Amino acid sequence: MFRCIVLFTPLLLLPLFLFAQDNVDDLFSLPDETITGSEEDDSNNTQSADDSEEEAGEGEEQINLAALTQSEPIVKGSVSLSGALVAGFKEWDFSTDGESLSAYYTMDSAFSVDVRPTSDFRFFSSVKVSFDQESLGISSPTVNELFVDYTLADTIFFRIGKQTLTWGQGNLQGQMIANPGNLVSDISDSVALKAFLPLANNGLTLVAYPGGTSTSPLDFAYAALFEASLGPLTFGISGKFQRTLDQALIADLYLKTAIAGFDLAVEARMDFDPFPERDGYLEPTIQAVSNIFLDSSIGIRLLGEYSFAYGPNVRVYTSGEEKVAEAGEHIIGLGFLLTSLFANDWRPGIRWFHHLSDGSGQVITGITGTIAPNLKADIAVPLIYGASGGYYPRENPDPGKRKLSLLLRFTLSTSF
Amino acid sequence: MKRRITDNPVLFLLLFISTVGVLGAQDSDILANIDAQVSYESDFSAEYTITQYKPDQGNSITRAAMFRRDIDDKYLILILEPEVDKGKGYLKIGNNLWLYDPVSRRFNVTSARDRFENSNLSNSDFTRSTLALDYEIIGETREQLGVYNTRVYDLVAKHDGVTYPKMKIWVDDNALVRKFEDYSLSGQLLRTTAIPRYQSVEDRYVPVQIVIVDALRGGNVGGAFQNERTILAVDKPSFTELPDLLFTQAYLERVSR
Repeated sequence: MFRCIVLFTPLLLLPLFLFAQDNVDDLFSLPDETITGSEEDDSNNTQSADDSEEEAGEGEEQINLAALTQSEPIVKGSVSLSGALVAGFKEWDFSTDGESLSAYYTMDSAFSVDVRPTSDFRFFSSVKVSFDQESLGISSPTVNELFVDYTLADTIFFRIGKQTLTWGQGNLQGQMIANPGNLVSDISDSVALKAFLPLANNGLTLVAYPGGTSTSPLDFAYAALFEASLGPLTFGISGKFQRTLDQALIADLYLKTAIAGFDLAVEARMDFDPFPERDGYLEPTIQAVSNIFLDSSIGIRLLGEYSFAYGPNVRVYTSGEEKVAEAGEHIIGLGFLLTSLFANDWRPGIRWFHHLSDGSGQVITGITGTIAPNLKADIAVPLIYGASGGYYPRENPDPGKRKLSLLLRFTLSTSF
Repeated sequence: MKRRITDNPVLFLLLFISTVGVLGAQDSDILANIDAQVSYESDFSAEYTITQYKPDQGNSITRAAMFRRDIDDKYLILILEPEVDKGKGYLKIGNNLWLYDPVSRRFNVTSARDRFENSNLSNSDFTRSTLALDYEIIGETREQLGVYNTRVYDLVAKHDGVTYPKMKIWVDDNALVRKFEDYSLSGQLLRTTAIPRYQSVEDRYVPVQIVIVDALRGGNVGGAFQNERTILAVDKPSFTELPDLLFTQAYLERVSR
């Protein structure tokens, strides 16, 4: 036993010597006593194995799986205050009549409780409180999530309650390109039941939730997603049925792989009206998205996305009026971000969206960084172009509807 | 006059092809034997302590739980420390790495990411050894590596799906790889990996300590260039069967915080 310790200790210390000498070959100047080689070694190892068994009885021999999903209650929170100044022009003639200056301020705080009394059971709740700029008061607390997790026989995973869930391959969703594969985008509006079963080399997710105000299970939304990997390819097949929708049946398929360091994804969704005999029958709607993504080790992040939609409710603004898109709606987006080339986490980037059908678009050039502990700054120059009825001028997120502006924002935040 | 085999070109060609085939098969057997020492037919779990040293930034320590199922080409890594990353996990199925965003409750899968947690470790470092599938031997020598009399094999990749196109490995008399040198296609040394200690667990070998030195990345300390390095220590190795749910994306969701 003592001999093992005498021989063992230098082996543990060798990596430290390596730091000074930077020659890995020095790590092999002593033999590996844990590998048997002779009868004498065998007898020594038998004795040391007995000693090891004694020591193992005193401590854990393997990872405690139950402990990984069990813990004392954890309370977490975060708070964020931000103030922004935006100055710009509402018209391209840059006249003083079109000048505009605005100030915005927000305050958000969130609290969560995570309770895991046993390895199979979990309760989680998160609440958010925000500052309402219109009323200059604090909004009523809103419950973001409130759910219970239960794992049955280490095989089926259930989540029941108000929960967030995102499907689909769209990367620029919420940034003015749709994520058509997110068939459950409205799940957080109410409570839901989700179940996951291992299947093939990954699994099947089943979801059921009220899709509207009706409490009848016949009017609920029922969705399923199966995802698996085959060699370099990952694929997913999903579907949803909700009879209260005009197009009650939805099917979606995606494929994802990587080529030359880029992630490539293609996804297509089709919405059907399964009741052709009803009044107001709608022809199928087709949506598709494809994207490439690169997050390189040298601090460059690239994203390109193309979105397509075609159907009876897909409309575009052309020739001064809005009409059904006979050739479909086409949108492209490109993003470029430098993530680690500058000190203080400064990240310059540029993002461009263009609506191919109506010629409108949005370009945002900006930089974000840390100027002090817990204090971040954002400087951005948003530009909106295209006819006033076009998609991006209409969907301009700037409350002042400026076409060219300079934004300066400071955010003070912390989490605990 | 004696006829030599070289007088009959067809016979010579057949003998040459069969010899090359036999040698190729022998090389494949060599690599397969090396793979077999550290590939496991049953589930494997262990606790990994990863110490990352960046010369201009100091040390960072990550403790993680590792679960492997080599027969399905899967593994799951769950971060235990530091506290800020606790609950973060990675699920690798074949070439595809699954990540979970607890804010949007969304899974993302990528085949393109290679480095683990921005360390000198590659995701391929956690999978089973597949030298026989991925490489062929193009050269062999013998070399003394400390107290080990090793066979040194020069390897070149058979296909593009590997992290390192060229490799050099030092193998001891137990068919255990003690040292790797990973090279780019142009022959530039990218990193050096040393495995000074293995542990015998249930008649299988488990690397206990792995030291990786990045040949390219580093920084100046006291006027001298020092390479980035990572030390991986393996504790609590076990071959106990693990639940199927553990190797699915749902487990990432279950453990996230």
